[in-house]
Amino acid sequence: MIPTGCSYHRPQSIDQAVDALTSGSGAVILAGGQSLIPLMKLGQSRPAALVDVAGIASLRYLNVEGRRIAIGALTTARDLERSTDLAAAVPVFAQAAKQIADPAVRARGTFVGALAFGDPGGDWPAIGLALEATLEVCGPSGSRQVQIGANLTPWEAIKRNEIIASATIEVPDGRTAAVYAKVRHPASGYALVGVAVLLTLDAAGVCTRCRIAATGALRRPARLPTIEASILGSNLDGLDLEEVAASLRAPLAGITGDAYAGSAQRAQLLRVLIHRTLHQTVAKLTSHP
Amino acid sequence: MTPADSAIEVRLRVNGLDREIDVDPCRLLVEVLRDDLGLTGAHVGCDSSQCGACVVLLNGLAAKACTVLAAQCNESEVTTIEGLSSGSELHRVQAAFQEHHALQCGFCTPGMIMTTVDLLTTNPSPTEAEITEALHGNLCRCTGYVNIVRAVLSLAAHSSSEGGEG
Ligand SMILES: Cc1cc2nc3c(=O)[nH]c(=O)nc-3n(C[C@H](O)[C@H](O)[C@H](O)COP(=O)(O)OP(=O)(O)OC[C@H]3O[C@@H](n4cnc5c(N)ncnc54)[C@H](O)[C@@H]3O)c2cc1C
Ligand code: FES
Ligand code: FES
Repeated sequence: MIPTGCSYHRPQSIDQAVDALTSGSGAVILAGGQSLIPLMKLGQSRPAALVDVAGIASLRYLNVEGRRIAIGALTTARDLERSTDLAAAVPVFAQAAKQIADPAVRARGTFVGALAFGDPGGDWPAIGLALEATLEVCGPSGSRQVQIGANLTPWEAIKRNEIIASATIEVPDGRTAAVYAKVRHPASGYALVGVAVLLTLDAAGVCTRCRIAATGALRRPARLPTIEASILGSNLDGLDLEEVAASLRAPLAGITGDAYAGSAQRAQLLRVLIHRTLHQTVAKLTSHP
Repeated sequence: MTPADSAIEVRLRVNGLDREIDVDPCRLLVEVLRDDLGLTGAHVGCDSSQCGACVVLLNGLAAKACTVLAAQCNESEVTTIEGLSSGSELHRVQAAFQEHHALQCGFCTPGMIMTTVDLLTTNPSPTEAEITEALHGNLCRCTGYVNIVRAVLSLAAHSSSEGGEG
C-alpha cells in the first residue's frame, strides 16, 4: 500500500515529460518503479506527481554497434541479460544483470533508472562508473551529453526537471575487458559489496587503462582512483597476486557499515572482490588477447 | 488533492477479458486485482517486493504486482493464476506442483507458478541451478523448496518426466 496520493502523467514524448516535470512542483519520473514504488510505500518518497515515461516509445531501444552500446531509458535489466548481441560485444552486462535481484524485478527495473537513482547497494551504478557511461540528458533548454568520470556520478549530473534519455557506453578497442562481481545481501539481493573492473592492456601486457568502481561499501557507488592509479602502468600479464594484495592492504577510506555487515567486514570483502575481479579480467584478456 | 480527484482511466486485459477501470494513481496492481476485480489468487505476503507471492504475468513477463502501479498497466495484458487453467483442467505447471507435492499451505504457490510459467517460456529446459536462480525472488515458508524445484525440473524439456519418489 502506498499511503499518499499523487497525480499521474503519461507523456508520449520527451518534451511532454520535461513539461510535466517542469510545470508541477514535486513531480518525479517513474520508470520501472522498482526503486521508487518501494520508497513511496515507506513514505521516504512522496511525489506530488508521477511522470510515467513508459509510453515514450523513442526511449525503448538497445543498439549494439561493435563495442558501442546505446541503452534507451526504458531498457530493462532483463533486456540486457537476454541480448545475444550485447553478450557477444560486452559480456559484463549479462554477467552483472544475472546478479541483480530476481527475474520479476529485472523485467521492470531499467538500467538508466538505476543510474539516475544511484542506490548505495545498486549494481548498475558500478557498471556505469567503470564503463564511463555518457548520458544524454534532456531538459527545458534542449539536450546535453554528460560524460561520467571519476569525479562525476550520474545522479549528480541531472536536475529535477531533466530526464536521462539514454546511456551510451563505448568500450575501447584493443585488449580491453570488464568483469563485475558482488557479494549479495542474502535477503534483499542488493550488493553487500560489489566491484566492477575494466582493464586495457597493451601488447606487452602493461595496463594502460584501469577503472575500478565499488558499490555497497560506500555511501554511494564510486570509482576508487587511488587503487586504479596503483595498478595503471603495471605489467598485468605477469600479475603478481601478492603485489596487488599489498596495494590493497593500505586502509580504505569511507567504508560504511550497518547491523548486517560492519565496515571492517565490508572493507575486507571489498579487498577480496577487487582482487578477484582484477584476476578474472586479466584471465579474460589472456585467454582472448 | 484527494485521491478521487486524480483518478485515472486504465484499460487493460486481464486473463483474456478487456477491463476499463478508474484508479487512484497510487494504487498497486495487486490491490486492484484483489479488491476491485475479485481476483484473489495473487497474494500479498510482504508488500515489500521480497516474497514473490504476488507475482503475475505482465505482458508475458513475471512481475511483482505489489511493485507495479495499476496505472502502469494501461494497454497491458495481465495474467493471474486464475487465468492459467482452462475450465477444470489444470495448467501443466499447476499439475506438476500437485503431482510433486510442491505446496503445503499454498500461500506462495500462485507466485511460484507464475514465475515458473515465465521461466519455461524463455527457457524450456532449465537446469536445477537455473530453476533455483529463477525462483530466487519467491519465498516459501513451508516446503523447503525441494519439491518445488523437483516439480519444475519435471517440466524441463529434457526431463525424463518420471514422477517417482527420487
Ligand atoms: C526486491 C528488489 C530487489 C532489488 N535488488 C537489486 C539488486 O540486487 N541490485 C540492483 O542494482 N538493484 C536492485 N533493485 C533495484 C532495481 O534494480 C531498480 O529497478 C533500479 O534501481 C531502478 O530502476 P527503475 O527503472 O525501477 O527506476 P524507478 O524506480 O522508476 O526510478 C528510480 C529513480 O530514478 C529516477 N529515474 C528513473 N528513470 C529516470 C530517467 N530516465 N531520467 C531521470 N531520472 C530517472 C526516478 O525519478 C526515481 O527517482 C531491486 C529492487 C527490488 C524491488
Ligand atoms: S507481496 Fe509482492 S513481493 Fe511480497
Ligand atoms: S507452501 Fe506455504 S509458503 Fe509455500
